[in-house]
Amino acid sequence: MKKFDFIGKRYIAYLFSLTLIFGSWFYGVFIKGPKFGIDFTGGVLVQVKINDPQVTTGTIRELFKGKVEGILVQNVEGESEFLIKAPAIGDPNKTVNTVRKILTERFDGKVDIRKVEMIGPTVGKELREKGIMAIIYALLGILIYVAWRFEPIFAFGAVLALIHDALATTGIFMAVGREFSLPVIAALLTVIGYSINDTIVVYDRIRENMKIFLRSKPFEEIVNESINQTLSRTVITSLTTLFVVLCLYLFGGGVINDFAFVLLVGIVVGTYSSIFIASAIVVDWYKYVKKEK
Amino acid sequence: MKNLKWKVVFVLIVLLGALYVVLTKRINLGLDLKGGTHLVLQIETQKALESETSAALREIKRRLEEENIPVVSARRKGTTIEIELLSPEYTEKAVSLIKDEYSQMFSIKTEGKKILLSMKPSYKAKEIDRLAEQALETIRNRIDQLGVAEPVIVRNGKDRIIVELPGVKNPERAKKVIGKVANLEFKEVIGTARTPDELITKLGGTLPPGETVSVEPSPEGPKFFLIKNGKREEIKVKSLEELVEKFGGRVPEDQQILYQEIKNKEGKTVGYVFYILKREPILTGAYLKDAYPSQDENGMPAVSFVLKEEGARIFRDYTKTHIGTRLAIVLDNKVQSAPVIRSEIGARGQISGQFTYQEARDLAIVLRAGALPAPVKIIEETTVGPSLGKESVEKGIKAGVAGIIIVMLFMAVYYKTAGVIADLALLMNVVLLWAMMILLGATLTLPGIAGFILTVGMAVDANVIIFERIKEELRKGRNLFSAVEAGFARAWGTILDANITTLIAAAVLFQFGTGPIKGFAVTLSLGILSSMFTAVFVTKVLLDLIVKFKPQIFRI
Repeated sequence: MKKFDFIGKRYIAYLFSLTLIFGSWFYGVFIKGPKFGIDFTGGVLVQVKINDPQVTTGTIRELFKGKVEGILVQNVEGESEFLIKAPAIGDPNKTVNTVRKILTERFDGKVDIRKVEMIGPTVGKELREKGIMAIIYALLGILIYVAWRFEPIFAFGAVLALIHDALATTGIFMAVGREFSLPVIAALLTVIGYSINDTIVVYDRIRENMKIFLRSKPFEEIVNESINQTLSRTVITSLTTLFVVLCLYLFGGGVINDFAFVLLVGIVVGTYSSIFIASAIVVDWYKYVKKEK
Repeated sequence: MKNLKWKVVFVLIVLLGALYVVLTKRINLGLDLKGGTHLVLQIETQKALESETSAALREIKRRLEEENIPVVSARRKGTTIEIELLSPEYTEKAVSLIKDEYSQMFSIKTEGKKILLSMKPSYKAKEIDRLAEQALETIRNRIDQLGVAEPVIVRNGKDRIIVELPGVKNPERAKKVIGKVANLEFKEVIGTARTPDELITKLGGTLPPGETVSVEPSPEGPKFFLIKNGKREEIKVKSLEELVEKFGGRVPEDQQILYQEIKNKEGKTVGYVFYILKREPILTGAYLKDAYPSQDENGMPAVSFVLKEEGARIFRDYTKTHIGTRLAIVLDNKVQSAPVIRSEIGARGQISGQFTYQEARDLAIVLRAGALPAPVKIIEETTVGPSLGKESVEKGIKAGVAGIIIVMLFMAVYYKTAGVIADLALLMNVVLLWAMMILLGATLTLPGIAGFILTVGMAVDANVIIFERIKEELRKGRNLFSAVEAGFARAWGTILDANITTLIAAAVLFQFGTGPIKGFAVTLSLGILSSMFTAVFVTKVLLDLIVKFKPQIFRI
């Protein structure tokens, strides 16, 4: 079987990862500007279908002029469906009421209000904090478990790889101009859960090989061999998961689309980090900090 | 050999059981799939606690006056009270008086002639809990009266309530009925005023010559403007009492000012009438036995009510001695009407107040169900129309079926016979996961469908780990039987570790999530568990069967 020198190329990987993370965050934050959905900012979102080909986003915008502040109208999927968004100014309950009333009065009988979401500003803030805390808790939990099952340095490497995945995925997500929402946070947590899975499989092999080749091979080589031995599994599992996520991305529609996008990116990044980052960090730790070979 | 036979029987029993559940029982669909309204209500407990403090303050002042203890000032700030006495010599007596009644409610600090009362956190916590329980009960009653099928009404945290109303057609109406405080009070009328100027002068205030105060309706209530030399300037006040005091008037401690809205034919507020009322109500909505929509003498929609026996007695006694005076019917601090008492009134009465028919009907509902102990605010709403829910389910099924077919094809092509076995295990996993969700009463949400589909992709992972190991062992030159045994034995630890870490992430997700996201976490966790059973145990049984009986067809 052909062997790749993953560990030998780890510095290129580090450089690539840093460029990817900093580049995507820079582009996403400063050039595109991060977008937050009403889950996190509070506000009103109304999804509406209007069976009238004459109606455009302009018509709807005109309709709310002077009645609802800061309204945003977007066209979705085809011709007759629209997303109406309003920020949380004043009492969002009233905004919902007004939007509903105006729509039903103006397009009587032709309108199907498909979805209404209203989130108060305090809830938005809470969800934002809770979302970040959830990711931190997940990382901590994984850190403790891996430290217990393996060695602390493995846990450190694994968590660093997970942070890498979360950062890179978030960066790419922002860079393509998508909007953060609760399902996106859920998807990020899933990416973390998925990526650790990959990493553990590699670590497991390293642990096993360390017992077999104890002192007969340098650590670097053991790690590289372990990655190679588990490579086909890593690739195949990533492929099967990518297949289903791709189906979700293509057919799921609406909310699921953002969710699936995060998973698509996250699985690719997570697979890459399990091969190039998670174990490489352990190698460097032994090499430079513990001065072992 | 015998062992294997029992394992086959076990797998078959589990499979048949799961199939039975799937075919006979339906899964719970979340609101995002079946359509409906999800509301999160915040009980504004702070307001209730503050008005409780205000009531305590009034009572304490009355007591001190009764005992001839001179009070310089007494003020409320949030849930604390600051009392300043004329001199320190009264402090001890005043404190012991307050302690008698309020030692449970306040902690008391003194500083010379000043007494500081602050509401105890233990009292607050107890009170908030009581308010929430009572609000929950009231809202449950109201929703029952609205006739919603299978509503969910639960407490969330210490001061929130989650309400789920499947298939509600008019969410705005439901929101109104749920959110109305519906505090009904009957109060004695001391005086009325048609204009702010009249109100101010009636209470001893004066307006500088050439200046008048005008009032304009707004959705938040009356807005006042000072008109001086033809210029208009808004007077920002929090209450009508404050307005009167601004011009030197005074509202006695036991009185208050409330307003009545005058509406035009379209139901729009065009003006106000102001009422000076006795603060202490004669009766409250707590004495109501029943309420129902009716019509007043002009044929306009109204609400009729019947009082409980005790309430009827109080009402009869009061009206008998107050014939010729006016009685204000106050709902949520707005005067609805203020009829003149013409004769003794007993158990029956009527509230008229320019209602529409729908409003009268809804008012009857909320009065019957009782008042909320504190105002509630709707802080979150998600309403999904039935058409969108149906579309989501269809899209989910499409994505799921496509995903399963691709994964199955891939496995069969890549791992040949072993892949087909993994496919069988995968199908069983789907059935098992579905059945587990039904049995546990879990709710399938849109993200839950995504979780389900994702599980399919990840479930084969355990098989991949095992098969790669078997291949390796075969490459090392082992025979089929021992390669299968070694492959499973070596893979097991890896699979366990990998899945437990994923479960940790799913558990956090469950803790963090609300509604739909929780649904996702549940599906994902159950999916991991069931896939460990099917991908490891069931696959092993099937492989053993092949290795034992038809090893020649085995390809990997």
